[in-house]
Amino acid sequence: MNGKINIVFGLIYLTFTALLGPLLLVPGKGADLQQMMEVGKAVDGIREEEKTGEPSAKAIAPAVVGMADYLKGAGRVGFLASTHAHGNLESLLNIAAGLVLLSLAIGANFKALLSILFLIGAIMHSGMLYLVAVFGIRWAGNFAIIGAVALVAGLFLTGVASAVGIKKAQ
Amino acid sequence: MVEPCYRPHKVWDPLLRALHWWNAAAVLILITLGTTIMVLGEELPHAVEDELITVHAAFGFLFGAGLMVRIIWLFTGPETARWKDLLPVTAKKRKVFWDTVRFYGGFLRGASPLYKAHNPFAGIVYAFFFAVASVQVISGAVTFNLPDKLRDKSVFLEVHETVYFLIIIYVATHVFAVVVHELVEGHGLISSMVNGNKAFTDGEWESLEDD
Repeated sequence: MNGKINIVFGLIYLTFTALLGPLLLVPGKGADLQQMMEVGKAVDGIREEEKTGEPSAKAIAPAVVGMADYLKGAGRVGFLASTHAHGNLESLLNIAAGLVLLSLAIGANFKALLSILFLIGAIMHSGMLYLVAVFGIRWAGNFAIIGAVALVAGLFLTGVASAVGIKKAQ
Repeated sequence: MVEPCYRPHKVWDPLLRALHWWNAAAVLILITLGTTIMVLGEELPHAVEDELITVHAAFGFLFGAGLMVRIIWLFTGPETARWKDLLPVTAKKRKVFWDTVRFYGGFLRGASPLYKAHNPFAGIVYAFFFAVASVQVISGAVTFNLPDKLRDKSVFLEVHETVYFLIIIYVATHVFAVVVHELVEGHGLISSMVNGNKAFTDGEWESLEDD
């Protein structure tokens, strides 16, 4: 627990979070171009009807349904992209934290504490978002706050540890 | 009569002390805000109540961070910060535990039990507090994320309000017991949470060294 585990974890975890990048491009995983075009067509139909009077419900309904579907898809893409970004950043943070911990002249138990905080941070934050975005396990999202809190605590305490540990090392 | 010579001995590490005061300050602020929301909530304008809840939640997350670090420190920290020091897991600690029970039962008559860092009787209460406080942080975070309409009817809010009373009882008991132990034992329990040192005579320290 001296930082090595964070580097190993960070690199392996990065593989999985980076994989979300290509997944974002898979058709049907997010907002479809096709869906957007259908909404466009429906809106054109409404505009046509508007020229001669009130547009009919028959013309409005497909536009509204299409837009709702498109927004749903766009939301899904946004969440997947957010998981991708957070996961990548937290993987890199673990690698960086591991390197910093290896170089700091601080007690082994303090290093273990910081190491665990960064692991909990990544697993409980972007890990939980991953479960929601990729596997649809929605309840997991409730636990993401635990990871966020652990990351903030880890960053603050690493700042303190750096102030003490770098001075000692010099 | 010759006064016994007390010497300071390092007992608490800096992180444990920092976490103690961080968590204590957070709990006091949370109790103050929580009480205001509970007592005056309906009389306050909705916007003010919402602001108070947001500030309360922000301090709740700060307390959650301190609590999480303390719980990890129970497993990675130095000996006097670990869970083994809190709970009566050794024969010696069990003896101190029962001595403390007898000491309290006899209304503080006779010699007070001798221990280096945590009193095992108090340690059980602290362990219980960590568990209860975790429930409080989780129930608070879940309640905060609920929409207004669901929040008032939520079972998590009921849990949060019940645990609030338990925490108030804990804080009052903890402060009372610390003051009593400070006066009866004379080891400098309160100041030890600032400078890390407890005062023991050479004889006392010798008997505690294998703790």
